[in-house]
Amino acid sequence: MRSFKSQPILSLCLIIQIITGVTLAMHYTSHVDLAFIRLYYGSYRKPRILLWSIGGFSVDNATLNRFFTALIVLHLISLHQHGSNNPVGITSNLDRIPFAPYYIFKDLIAIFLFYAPNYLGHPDNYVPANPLVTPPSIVPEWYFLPFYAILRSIPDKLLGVVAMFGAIVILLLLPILDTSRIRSKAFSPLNKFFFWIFVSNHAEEPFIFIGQICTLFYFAYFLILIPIIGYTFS
Amino acid sequence: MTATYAYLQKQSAQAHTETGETGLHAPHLPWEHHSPFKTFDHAAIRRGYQVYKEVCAACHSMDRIAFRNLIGVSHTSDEAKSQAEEFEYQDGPNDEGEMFQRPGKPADYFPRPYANDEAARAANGGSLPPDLSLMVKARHGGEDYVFALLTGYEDPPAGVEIRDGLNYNPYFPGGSISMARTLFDGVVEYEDGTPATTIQMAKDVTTFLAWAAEPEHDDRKRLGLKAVIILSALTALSVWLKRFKWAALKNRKFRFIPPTK
Repeated sequence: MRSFKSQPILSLCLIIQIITGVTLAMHYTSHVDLAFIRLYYGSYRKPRILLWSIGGFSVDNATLNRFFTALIVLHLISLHQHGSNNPVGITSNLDRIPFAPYYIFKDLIAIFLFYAPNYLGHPDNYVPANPLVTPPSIVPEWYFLPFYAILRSIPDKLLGVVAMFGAIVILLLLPILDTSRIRSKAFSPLNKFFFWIFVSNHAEEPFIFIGQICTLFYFAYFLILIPIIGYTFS
Repeated sequence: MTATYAYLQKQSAQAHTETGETGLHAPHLPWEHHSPFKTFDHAAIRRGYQVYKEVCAACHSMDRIAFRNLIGVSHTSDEAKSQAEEFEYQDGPNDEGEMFQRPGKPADYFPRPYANDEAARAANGGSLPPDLSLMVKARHGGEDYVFALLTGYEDPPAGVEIRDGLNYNPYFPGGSISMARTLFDGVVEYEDGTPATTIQMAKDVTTFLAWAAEPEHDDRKRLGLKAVIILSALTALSVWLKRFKWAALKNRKFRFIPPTK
């Protein structure tokens, strides 16, 4: 059950990290100090608490390094506790194996690196930045698309942001909500079906409506369906 | 390639009614350098540089490419030197504190046709000719799009109104583009005697721009080949190792013992 908790925390950390980087780039200032001094530093009176955690007077390379280190440590802790991937969900304490299959799979990345480096990129990244031109559509990385869809499908800005963060935080409630004895979806076809309804992007009409339905479904999935399915199966 | 082009061109004529805001989808052409085992066609890069210099450079800058980049790619170092010397660059200040003009050196970047963006807009009816350094990577369709755009000029179909000063090109988003058709048969006289047809020039200049956008391309693929060879050997090794690691898991036997009361 503990692995349920560590994953959302890790993803939350990663998202904070990415948004930090994006904000850094979007501030259009070569002075990192200027861009971040307000966000992280707060006041000049009590700098020391933050100094330790961010590694300097402002968010900088040292901060990113610390963040990466923290992420790796968290990963290693959860790997040590729960072993490598465990798709079946049955206890795997007897079946501990080293990283084996994963370092083999990783080698496939070399093919992309050498033969299709722009495969997951977007042509817009090669157009010089121009603050006077609004791009036709926002192009977040694919793993942000669901959150972008949530943000877009709620008309109220504040509620949208709350819902977006709620989408991650709700994962923390999983240990309470999920009453199934077996974690994997492989053994529960009903659960599998509801999972696959998650799939969408573009700020045009059919997609907005689909996005709203999906957002509703996303939260309903965690708050209503998972407990019910867990109850009926066990 | 010419045959493919002719075939696709015929097809695209029927699809014109579908040209929307996004522009006609550029037909996919078999670029030689798309193969994992092929480098760029360096003769084409050399010809394409000539087309760029004599045609495109009248309006388009290429800020990120210097004459020295041509060395070993399309020109010898002496040739690159004489190419650079054709242009004047401002340098200085000298001993008297004055700026002065000097002939270009291989380290100089390609000269810009206009002093700044405003001058470029003023000279082109309000449109800014984009910098071509990364153009192939900066457009959907890459080489195919650039080639289709250069060769796709034609009269607007019935019912399509084009404003004065704009030109009809189905591959351009929106269909009307400020740039007029520039490549006509024989506009350039190739030094290697290749007949300078529109298609040939479009292919050459696109190859040149593809090189400019990815100058590391040849090295990347060469290194990739080595990496794939070494990594596949290592993969085989780790699969072999994996068999040992998994042996204990794969060979065990499960038995269900019902609980006794």
